[in-house]
Amino acid sequence: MNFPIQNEQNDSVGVSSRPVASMASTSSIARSSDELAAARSKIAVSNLDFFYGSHQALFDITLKVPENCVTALIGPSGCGKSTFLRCLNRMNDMIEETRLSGNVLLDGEDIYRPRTDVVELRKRVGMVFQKSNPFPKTIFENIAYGPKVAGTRKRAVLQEIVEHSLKQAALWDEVKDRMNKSALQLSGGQQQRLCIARALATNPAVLLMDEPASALDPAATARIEDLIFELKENYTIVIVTHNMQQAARVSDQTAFFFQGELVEAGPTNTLFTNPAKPQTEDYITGRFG
Amino acid sequence: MAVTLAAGATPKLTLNPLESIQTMTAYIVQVSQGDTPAGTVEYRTIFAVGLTLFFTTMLMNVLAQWVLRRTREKYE
Amino acid sequence: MSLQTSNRHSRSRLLSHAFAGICLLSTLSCIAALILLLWQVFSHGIDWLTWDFIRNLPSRFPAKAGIRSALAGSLWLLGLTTVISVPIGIGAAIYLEEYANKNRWRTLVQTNIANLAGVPSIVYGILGLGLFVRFMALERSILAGALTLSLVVLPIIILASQEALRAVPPSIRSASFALGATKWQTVWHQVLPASIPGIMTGVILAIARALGEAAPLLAIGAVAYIPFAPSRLSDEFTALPIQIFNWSARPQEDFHSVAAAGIIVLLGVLICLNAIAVFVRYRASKRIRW
Repeated sequence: MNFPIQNEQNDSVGVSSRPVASMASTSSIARSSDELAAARSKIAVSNLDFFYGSHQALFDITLKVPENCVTALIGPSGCGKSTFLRCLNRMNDMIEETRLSGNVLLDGEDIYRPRTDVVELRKRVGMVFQKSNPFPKTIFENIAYGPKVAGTRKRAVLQEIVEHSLKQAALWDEVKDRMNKSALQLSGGQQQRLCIARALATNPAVLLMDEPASALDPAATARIEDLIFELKENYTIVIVTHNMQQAARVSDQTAFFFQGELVEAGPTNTLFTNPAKPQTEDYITGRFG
Repeated sequence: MAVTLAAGATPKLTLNPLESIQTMTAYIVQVSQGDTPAGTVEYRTIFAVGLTLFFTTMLMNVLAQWVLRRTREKYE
Repeated sequence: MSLQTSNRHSRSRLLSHAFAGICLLSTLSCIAALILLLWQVFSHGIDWLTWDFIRNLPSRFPAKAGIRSALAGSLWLLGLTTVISVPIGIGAAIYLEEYANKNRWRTLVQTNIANLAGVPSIVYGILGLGLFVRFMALERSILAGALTLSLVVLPIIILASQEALRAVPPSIRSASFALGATKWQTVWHQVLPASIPGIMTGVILAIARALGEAAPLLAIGAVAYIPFAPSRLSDEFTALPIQIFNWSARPQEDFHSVAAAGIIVLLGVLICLNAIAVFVRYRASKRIRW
């Protein structure tokens, strides 16, 4: 029943061995369930309820995000996966009349504890959005913005950070000659990698990605996916995706959300080949959603 | 204000659009130009006229906004 | 279905043409009115528009009458009004758009500002008369005039700035916050620079309007005959529209031509301001494209 996904998964090796990111091939192999179990949990969410006004969007979510792994959140539209993602760096604080209960521990510290420094939290938990949203400034200014607002002033230091971040995001070679050109002149795929580089510039430990490739063409998507493989060596990644093949290709752990509840979470291989819950199986085989 | 030039400054009550009349604005200007001392009846009347003008326009604005709100809903 | 024109079709096409014609006629009548106005003004005034006219002080004799004090007064008002109203206006807009919670209080304030933007300027004139001229005892000074004009343009500046701030995509704010920026940093480094072109356009148009206002200045008691160019905030003043109004209200035919020359000067200043607005907008649209 889930053969097509199986095929896609095998295909992932093919994707990552593309010349643009040949070094990814070593790290592209998904972590085994043993490795997952052994990994330290970077983020531990327990009994999380979330409300928009009187509407409850998340019900009693408990999930561990293992360090240096890719965790994919899948599920139909409106299932709460993006809301959950935004709980992890408190971006939901921006929305008026939201309420939350439960714990979100980052390295054992509750990020919703009353005197948490949200600014500091967001530096440690970076975010990449669905639609690429570069600032209407130069490429350099885009990347340097995070370190700048954090207080880095020295031009040389900023330059080093910018170069390093762009290299990590596999964009350096394409833009190194036009650092002072507007970021809005880049192509869609480049813009999204710029946004990833921008998030990396504050040197976060965790990277949250909200459907980072949904607005991109297949080639650009493949590049982003390659990038995710490479980045997980140094970062813990949580990615929301509509695309189950993508989840199967890039992630080590997958969590399936449905109507605000976490139906099932586990090693990606297991979840896609041998789901425990019938709802999960229905979804991944394309019976709804 | 520009109306004063065209409509004239004759304070009289008429429905005939061809006759010269005076607008509220023109009245205020006329009185305040006349260098009336503060506290006189004339000085005070311009505030009354101003208030009338203010509430008239406010009423029209509120009405306009209400219409705007009602019609705008249909598009979204 | 045949492709031949049926009766019904040709009628609807006729109707469509007729409608387009009516719309065109409306546009043309606007343009015609404008051309007529300009022709009237220029044919009367252009001969009187000399260097002496710009340089001379007002006079009882049309031939000697000049616009120097009015022009100086208008430029003073222009500068002062900008300095007073722009920071307050932009500040208010930022507060309402970025900081204020969307509650009833905000709605009330918002409605009031929209109302104030539509209030006839003479009402502000009376307020200025009561508040600045009498209560604060500023007399008929340039400062009182500029404060009064600031009241006139503030709601317009606030509304235009709000519009410009709202045009900045929310995703820019999210991106900034997600990088650990504070609200202040986000507004100062991202939202404000991105909206400056829109704000500037609104500000310049508002100031241009202030430049053409005569009623509120007359209400606070500004007079046309000022035989000197003002040099201090406490000086009495006159302004272009007042001077023009005064000249055109005089019985002598020659003064009407002098007024026309004054109108040309006023139009010149207004066109300069509008040109700046267009230029700013053009520059910005080239730089920022969402």
